[in-house]
Amino acid sequence: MARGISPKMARLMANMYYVGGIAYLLGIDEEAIASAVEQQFRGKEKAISMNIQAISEARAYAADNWGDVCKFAAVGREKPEDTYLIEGNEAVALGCIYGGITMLSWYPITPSSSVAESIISWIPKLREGEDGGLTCAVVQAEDELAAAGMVLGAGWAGGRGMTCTSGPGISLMSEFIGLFYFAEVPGVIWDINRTGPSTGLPTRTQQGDLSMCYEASHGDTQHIVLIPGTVDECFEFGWRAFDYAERFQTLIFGFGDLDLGMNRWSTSGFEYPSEVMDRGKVIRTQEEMDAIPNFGRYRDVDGDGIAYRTLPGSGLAPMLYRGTGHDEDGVYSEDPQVYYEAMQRLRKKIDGSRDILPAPIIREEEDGEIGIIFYGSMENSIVEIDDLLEDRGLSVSTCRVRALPYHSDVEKFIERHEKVVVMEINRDGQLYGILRKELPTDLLPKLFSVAYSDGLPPKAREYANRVIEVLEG
Amino acid sequence: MVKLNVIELEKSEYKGGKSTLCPGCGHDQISNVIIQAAWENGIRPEGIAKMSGIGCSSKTPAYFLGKSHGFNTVHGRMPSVTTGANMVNKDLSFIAVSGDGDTASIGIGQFIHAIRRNLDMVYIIENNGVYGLTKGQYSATVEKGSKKKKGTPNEQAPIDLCAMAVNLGCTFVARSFSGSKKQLTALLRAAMSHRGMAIIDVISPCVTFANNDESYRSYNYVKSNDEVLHIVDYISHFSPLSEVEVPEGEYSDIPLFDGSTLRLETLASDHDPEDAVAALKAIHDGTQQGRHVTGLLYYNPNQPTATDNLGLTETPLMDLADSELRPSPESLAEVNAGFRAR
Ligand SMILES: Cc1ncc(C[n+]2csc(CCOP(=O)(O)OP(=O)(O)O)c2C)c(N)n1
Ligand code: SF4
Ligand SMILES: [Mg+2]
Repeated sequence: MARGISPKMARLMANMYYVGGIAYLLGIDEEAIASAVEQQFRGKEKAISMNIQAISEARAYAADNWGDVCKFAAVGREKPEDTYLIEGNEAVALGCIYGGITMLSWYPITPSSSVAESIISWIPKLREGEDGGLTCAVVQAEDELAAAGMVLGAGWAGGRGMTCTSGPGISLMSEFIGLFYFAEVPGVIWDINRTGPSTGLPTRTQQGDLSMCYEASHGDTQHIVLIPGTVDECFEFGWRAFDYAERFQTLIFGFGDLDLGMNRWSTSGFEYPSEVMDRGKVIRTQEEMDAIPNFGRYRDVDGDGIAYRTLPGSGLAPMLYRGTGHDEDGVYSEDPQVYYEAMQRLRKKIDGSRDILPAPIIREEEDGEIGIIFYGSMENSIVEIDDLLEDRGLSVSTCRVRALPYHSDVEKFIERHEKVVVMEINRDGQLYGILRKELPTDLLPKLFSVAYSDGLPPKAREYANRVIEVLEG
Repeated sequence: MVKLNVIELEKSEYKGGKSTLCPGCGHDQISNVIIQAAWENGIRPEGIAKMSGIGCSSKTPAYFLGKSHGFNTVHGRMPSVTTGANMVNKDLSFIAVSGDGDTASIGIGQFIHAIRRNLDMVYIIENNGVYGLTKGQYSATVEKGSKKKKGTPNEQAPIDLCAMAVNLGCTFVARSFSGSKKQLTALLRAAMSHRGMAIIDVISPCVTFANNDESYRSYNYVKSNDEVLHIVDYISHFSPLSEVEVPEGEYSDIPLFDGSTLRLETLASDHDPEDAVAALKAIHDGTQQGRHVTGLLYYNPNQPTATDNLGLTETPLMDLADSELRPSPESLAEVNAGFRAR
C-alpha cells in the first residue's frame, strides 16, 4: 500500500500503517493522531501529508476488514488545570538552579546527561546576575574524576559545585569522595542510577548504587544520600542538597534513577524554596573570627561535630587543606589519639544529620502488623503493590525512606510492626544491608528483604508475590 | 632596617613551615625561590592559593607562603581542583606545585586539559626523574640512558612536558633548574605576571635516589649540561625601566600581562619565544645531545583563559549575594506553566 503513495519512501512509512490499524482498533480520534504527526514532522509538509495519508488508508482498510474485534478504547481526558508533566532529571536541574548552583562540571553518561543539559539550558534564562553576567560556570570535564575534583575545588573556594553522573562515574570519583569527607569540603553529586555492575545495561534502571554512595571511598567513610521519590522531591532535594552540603561541610549525594529521571511524571507545580540558603559555618570577617573561642579549622567548638571554616582569598586563618591526617588546627599529624578523635568527630557530624534530613513518608494502617520500607522511584509502584497485597488479605503500612543516614522515625516504624519487608530494585538488598548493620540487634529478626532487579521498572505483581513469599517463608 | 616590598611586607610574611624533605633536595631550593618571587612581585599573600598533588614536591606548599590558603589534594588531580576553585573565584592567584610522577604519569590527563583550557595559574613541575616519595622508581620524564643510584639505566623514551605543552599551545612554557636561582626567580616572577597557564618545568635533583653522576638530573650532570637559551631579567611594572641597567649586547623585551617585562639577553643565537617550532627544535636538539635547554621556551600571550568565554559576572561567583543566586518566585511560576500537561 505504501508504494502507492511513494515507492521511494514506502519502507519509511510502513510503520504508519500499524499506527492506522491501532488507531482504528482503539478508536483514537483522527485529529489527535494528525496533530501528533504534525508535531513529529514539524515543518516538513510533505512528510506530514504522506504519513497522514498512510494512516488513513490503514484505518479504512481495518474498518473494512477487521470489524469490531477490540474490547478496549483510548479516550481523551479533560485537561487538568494544575497538572504539569516533567522528567525527574529536569526537576533536579531546576532544583539546582533555584539552589544557587555556581559551578556545574560534568562528563556525559546515560541516564544523567539530561540533568546537565537542562541546567545549561536554564542558566541564561534564570541565572543572569545584576551586571548581566551569568552566575553559574559550566565545565565539560575530561572525565568524571576531574568533574569531582572541580566540585571539590569550587566547594573549597566558597562556591556551590555540583556534578551529575551514573554508577560508572561514581566508581571513578571514589578517591575524591574520600577527600570531600576527610577534608570536610561541601559538594553535591547526583547519581542517576542505571543497571550495573560495570557498563551493565546502560539504558535500563536500577537502585544499584545505594551502598556504594553511602560508603564510597577507602577507609571509614559515610555520606549523606538524598533519595527523592517524586519529581517534586527531585526539585526540592535539588536545592536542599547545597544547603546540607554547606551545613555539614561534606559531600551530598542525590540519588535518582533512569526511571524517575528520564520519564515524565506529573506534579502540581514546584514549590518555591521554603527556606533561605544555609551557607553553613563560614567565618567571613575578623569580628566573626574573634567571637569564636579557640578557633581551629577542625575544632568542634559547638559540640555538634561541625567546625568553622574560612575561605581562600579571605586572609582569615589561612590553612593548607590536606587529605592526610590532621589535628584540630589542620596541621599534619599521625598521632594516634588525634586520628582517633578526628574520626569519632566525623562520625558524630554525619550521624547528627539523621533527623535534620528529610523524614520518611509513612502511610500507616490502623492495625497493620506488616510494614514495608522502600525508597526512590518505587514510589510509582507502591499503590499498585499495596492493592495487590490487600487483594490477598494483607494490610500493610509503608515507610518511604528519603535520606541516609536514615531518620529515627524509620527505626520507630520498624519497632511498631511485627514484620517489616525492605523492598528495593537491586539484587542484594542494599538498604536492607544498611539497616541490618545499623539497627539495634533486637529489631533484626523482624526484617525481611525483597530485592529484585531485571533492568526494568518495577512490576507490581512481581514484588507483591515476593512479599507474600518471604512473609509466608 | 628590614626590607619591605612594594606592598610594605617583610619577606618573612611569605615564608612557610620548616621543611621535612631530605637536606639538599632540589625542591627546597624551589620553595625558597617561590617565597622570593612572590615577595618581590608584591603579591598579597591572602590572594594566593597554593595547590599541589601528592609527592615530596607536592608536600612543599607547607613550607612556603604560610599566609596563603592552599590545598594538598590527591595524586595527579590538582588541576581539576584548581579548575573548580578558579571557576568560582577567578580573582585568586593560583600557584601550583607538582612532581614529574604527579604530572607526567597519573595526572597527565588533567595536566593536558588544564593547558587546553588555559587555566589561569602558575604550574611548577619539580622534575627529578623519579618518584621520590615512594622511594625512587623511575618516572616518565627520565631520559633514555639515565641511571638512578640503584638499578639499571632507563630504556624508555621520556615524555618532555615542555614539548608537549608547546604542542598544546600552552601560553607560557619555561624550563629551569633548581640550582639556577637567578634564572628561576626571573622566570617565576614572569609566570606570576602572566595571565593564563604558565608552566615552569624545573629540574630538581633528588639527592637520595638520583643524584649520582649517571643520572641526567643530578646536580653535577645538570650543571655541566645546562643549555641556557638566553639570560633572563625581570623588570617589574612598579620599577621604571630607566632604572634598570641596559645590557651591552642584543636583547628583546617581552611585555607581560600586568605591565612588567621579561628581558631576554641574546646568547650564542637568538631564540624567538613566540615561535613554537623554534621552541620544539631547541628542545629536540638539546635532548639529542643529552642537554637540558633552559629559559623561556614559548610564549603565546593574550589568549582567553578558562573563565573568559563563560560570560560570568564581574564579581567572582563566590562573592555574589545569595539573592543573586536564587531566581525569583515569579520566575518559578513561569517555569511551572511551561510544563503544563497538554
Ligand atoms: C592514587 C595513588 N597512587 C599512588 C600513590 C603513591 N604515590 C605517592 S607520591 C607518588 C609519586 C610521586 O612522584 P613525583 O610526583 O615525581 O614526586 P616526587 O616525590 O618525586 O617529588 C606515588 C606513586 C598515591 N599517593 N596515590
Ligand atoms: S626523597 Fe628525593 S625528592 Fe624526596 S625529599 Fe628526599 S631528596 Fe627530595
Ligand atoms: Mg619526582
